[in-house]
Amino acid sequence: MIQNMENDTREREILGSDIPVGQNIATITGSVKMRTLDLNVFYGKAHAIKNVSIEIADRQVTALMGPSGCGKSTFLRALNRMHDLTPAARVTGVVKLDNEDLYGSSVDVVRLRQRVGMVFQRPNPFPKSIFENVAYGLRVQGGYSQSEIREIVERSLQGAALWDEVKDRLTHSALSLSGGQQQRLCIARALAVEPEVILMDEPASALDPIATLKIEELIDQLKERYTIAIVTHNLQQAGRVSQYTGFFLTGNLIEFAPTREIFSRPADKRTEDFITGRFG
Amino acid sequence: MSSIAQRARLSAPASDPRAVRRARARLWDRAMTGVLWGLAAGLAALLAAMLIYLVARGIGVINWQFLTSEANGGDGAALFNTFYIIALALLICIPLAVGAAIYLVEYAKQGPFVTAVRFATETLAGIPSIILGLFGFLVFVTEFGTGTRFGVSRLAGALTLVILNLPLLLRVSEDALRSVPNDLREASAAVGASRFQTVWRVMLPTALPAVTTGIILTAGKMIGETAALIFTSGGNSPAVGWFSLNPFTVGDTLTVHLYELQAEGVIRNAVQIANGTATLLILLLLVFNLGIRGLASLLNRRLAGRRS
Repeated sequence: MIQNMENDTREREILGSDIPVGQNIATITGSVKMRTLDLNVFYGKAHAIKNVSIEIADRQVTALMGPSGCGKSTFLRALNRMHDLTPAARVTGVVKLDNEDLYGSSVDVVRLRQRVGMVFQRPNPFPKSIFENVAYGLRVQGGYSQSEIREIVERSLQGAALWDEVKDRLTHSALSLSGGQQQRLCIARALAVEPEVILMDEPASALDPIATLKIEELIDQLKERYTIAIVTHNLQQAGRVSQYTGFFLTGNLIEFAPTREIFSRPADKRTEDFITGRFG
Repeated sequence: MSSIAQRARLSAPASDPRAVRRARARLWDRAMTGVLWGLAAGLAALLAAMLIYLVARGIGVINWQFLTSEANGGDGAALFNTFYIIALALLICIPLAVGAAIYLVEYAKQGPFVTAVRFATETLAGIPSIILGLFGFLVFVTEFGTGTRFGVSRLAGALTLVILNLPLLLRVSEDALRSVPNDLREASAAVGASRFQTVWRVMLPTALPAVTTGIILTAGKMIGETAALIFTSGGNSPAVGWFSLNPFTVGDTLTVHLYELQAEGVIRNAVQIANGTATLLILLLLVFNLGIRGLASLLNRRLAGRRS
């Protein structure tokens, strides 16, 4: 539900922030893993994300849906500072992971991205072997022995429901896998660095229906251990997979509620129009 | 016959104007195909004729002794010097070019500096090699050379070659790095790699096949360099023992040797040796070019055919 916070001081007290607090914060019940306050993202002059304040529930799946170009991917990328890679992008506002502002000056971005992993729309395995793909995050960190790496790679591939299919060909090129397998490999790669949050940017949109189903089952399993935020333009997927859903439109967060609520009794007309397929 | 029935027939009477036009178009098409084919074949034949003529003149001269020794004006020294200077030049050129390419692609902000660098390299690429040879002579041989062991030397020649070929290798390396898909960069960053780690562990290895092809291309180009080397590295090699690895010794390459034989040949069978040298050069270049094609297709296959 979106609440109006009347008491600014109390809010600042709770959240420990010195900046003025947004008026509409999408809140949840239960423990909060990540939250944003007045998040704005600019691409050059374009105002892509407008004052979004949202809470991402710990070890639940939060779906972000909306029509093409509404900014949901842009929003997602702000959560692990992927916009740092784009010189034209500018981010203002607060993004907190366990109450630590991710855009603070003392934040180690590298460490942040290990805690908040990301899976992309098109599978993007490195042109290396399957093993090396999963081990990449560990090698980049350094300090792991070869046996530790082997153990973690196996665990991650099992966590991504891919181990049985590839255990005999770990040294083969990752590019020899099918699209769905490659995407699960990318999930394994993200799991290997033991993140707390996994951001998924339309992870199944480039895959066939069977692979999509496997990914959705995987997401359901993963939420036992990880907080998941998934962007999707597929309404049914959002309904199947998530516990909370947010609806974006032209950079604004229009509505945010537990999934069952938002699909059965959307509070905003625009949400209802989107769900019933009047546009999107 | 009605006009519909007329059009329905595939072969019309000769008097039908549309049929005549169609026939003329067919004839023209065949004629032009023939002309273009003839041009291509003529070009290939010309090239083949040139090569056969040159190779035939000199092939008789080539034998093991010719290739390995200096006696009787053998080409052994020149052959070794060619490889030596190219190796030395590449040793210096590759880190410079690849490093600069990495900087331009990954680190530099698009702006006046990058534009200036690009303009400078493109201008450099257009400078005639004789001018760069003179530059090398003035700077490496004369300025740095007075009073030191420098002077006319293979090192000076190698350095001049570096200047000559840096723009090409830089451009190839840059293109290779740019062609690495951006989603790999993102994937690496998303898993917690620093920018340098991304470059070193993902971008460079992925761009390596294209960069390697570029290096071999540059090496092939260097085989033919003459003007840049005449004043900087070459003169008649003194008897230093041709396996010498000392970069400060004088050493003429195959092309410079050929020039000298032709221009100043004082040994008895200068013409013969010149022919042999020319043949050797052509064969070397042929081998190189075939090698590049083979290597490029091998590397592309190794990359599972997904990128490039």
